Amino acid sequence: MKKARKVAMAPERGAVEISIQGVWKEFLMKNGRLSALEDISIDVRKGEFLCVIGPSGCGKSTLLSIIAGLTTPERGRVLIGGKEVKGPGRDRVVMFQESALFPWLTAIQNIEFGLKMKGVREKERKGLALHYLGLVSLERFGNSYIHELSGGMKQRVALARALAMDPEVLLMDEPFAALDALSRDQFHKELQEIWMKTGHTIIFVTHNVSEAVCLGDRVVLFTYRPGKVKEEFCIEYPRPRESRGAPKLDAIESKILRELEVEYARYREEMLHDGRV
Amino acid sequence: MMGESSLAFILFCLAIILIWQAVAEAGFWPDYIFPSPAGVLFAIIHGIGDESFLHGTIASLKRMALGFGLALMIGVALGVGISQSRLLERTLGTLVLGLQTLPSICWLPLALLWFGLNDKAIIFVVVMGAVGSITMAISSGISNVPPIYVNAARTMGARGWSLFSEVIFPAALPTMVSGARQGWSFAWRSLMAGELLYVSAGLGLLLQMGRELNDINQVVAVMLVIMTIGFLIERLFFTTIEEDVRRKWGLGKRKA
Ligand SMILES: Nc1ncnc2c1ncn2[C@@H]1O[C@H](COP(=O)(O)OP(=O)(O)OP(=O)(O)O)[C@@H](O)[C@H]1O
Ligand SMILES: [Mg+2]
Repeated sequence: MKKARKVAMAPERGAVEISIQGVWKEFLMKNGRLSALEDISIDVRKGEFLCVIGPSGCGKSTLLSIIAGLTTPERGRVLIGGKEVKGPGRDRVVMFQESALFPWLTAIQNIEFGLKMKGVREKERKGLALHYLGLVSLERFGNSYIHELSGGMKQRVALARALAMDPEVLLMDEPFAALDALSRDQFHKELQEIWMKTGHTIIFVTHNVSEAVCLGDRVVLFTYRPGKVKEEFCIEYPRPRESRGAPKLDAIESKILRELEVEYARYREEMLHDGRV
Repeated sequence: MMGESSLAFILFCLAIILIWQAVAEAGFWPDYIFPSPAGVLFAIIHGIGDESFLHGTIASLKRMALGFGLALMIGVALGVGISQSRLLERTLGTLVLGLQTLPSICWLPLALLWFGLNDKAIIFVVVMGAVGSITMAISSGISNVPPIYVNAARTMGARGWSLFSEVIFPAALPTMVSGARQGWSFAWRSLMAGELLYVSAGLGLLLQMGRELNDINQVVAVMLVIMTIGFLIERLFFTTIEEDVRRKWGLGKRKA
């Protein structure tokens, strides 16, 4: 008998694009097992912008990696458009937490990489790559190598590379965490504009509450280890949203912040007690 | 910057030559024991004039090219194998590490027994000199490719050969180039030792001939030629490639 589980799902209608069904993930450590994810069930609708928030180490990156097909869960499964995830696929692209751009390629060659793997011909590839480079306002830096770009520019290239794949699902792992507040606001605006045009289904991981509230149709809050869905918040507010200043968003933000505080308190406590991070 | 340091180097060489000339003229030792710069210069001009240096250099470099080329092929095959299999790493990898502690000239007696007194024996020594460094560099370069590059490439649809040729290989290239340079310099040293011991054409032969004729000027002149060629290939050719790759990859200068 399967026990009934609470499935987090957006209220609007629309086909379910990503269905995370009872996912568990453990890691074997020197001193026993570490339960990273426990019974995660989330449905994400086509074209939805879902934000996942939780304290450091609660398994957010692990969940993205499972959806991407790079990690296999101990239990449960993930369906994309009704098909079970068995490995990486071009319908899902990940924008990783740390820069995963290839240092031996220029910005434009990085964007072309996925297209090349897709078998797009060289001429067409160049044009497409230029288009996406323009979309992130980096036309002038196409021929720069990655280490010649600033942190923000690197994330722009990474975004362009992901978008160029034109995937159904975009998995973003704290892509703007290392940026200053103003560049991040700018990114939030641009990402919303791009998303409203392209209609990708996005799962966006962050531990920044105002970012989650600004971007998400829905915010799912994870508990600290093992990561479980603690609560979800629907954010109905017209777009494009500003990063700050809307009273209604501020109210939700402080509510989420209070919940997150509780999880961070557990995180600190555990660190004090057994020195693990 | 570059101009300044090469100017300093040229001045340094001039100073050494002047001191050398002064000591030689002071006549503490007879000139068949202590050569003079002029004598060496004459030997160099003579060696260039009668083309003996050219032929010696060509003979040595041919052996290097053959031996190093073979070492590259074997090293790449072994290195890729070791990086792909735990078992190979623990067996073959350990063996290669162990053999690397053996100076490769120690293979010469064995090679002479196997191949006889011919070029094959000396090329074998060159191969043994280079193959260890190349193998280790290829395998460690491949196994140390950051997993994030591989994961990113896989989510973009890279598989099998394209994953290897488009991601793993370029990501490992800086380590591979360093290994090739190191392999070359070991092989060059083994070749010179080999040519001295088993004499048949090449720069080592010229050096040995100088000794047999008691011509100290020839000995020093050939030493300078060997040093210059080693410097040109190792420092200028390999190090330039290495630094180009490292700069392009955003890795900065290699220490020491
Ligand atoms: N490959 C692995 N082997 C062992 N443990 C792992 C591995 N990957 C993750 N973990 C552990 O699983 C837990 C969740 O890791 P994860 O990277 O998913 O956290 P996160 O929520 O993304 O944290 P952050 O916000 O700091 O990025 C952590 O405690 C981490 O130590
Ligand atoms: Mg993470």
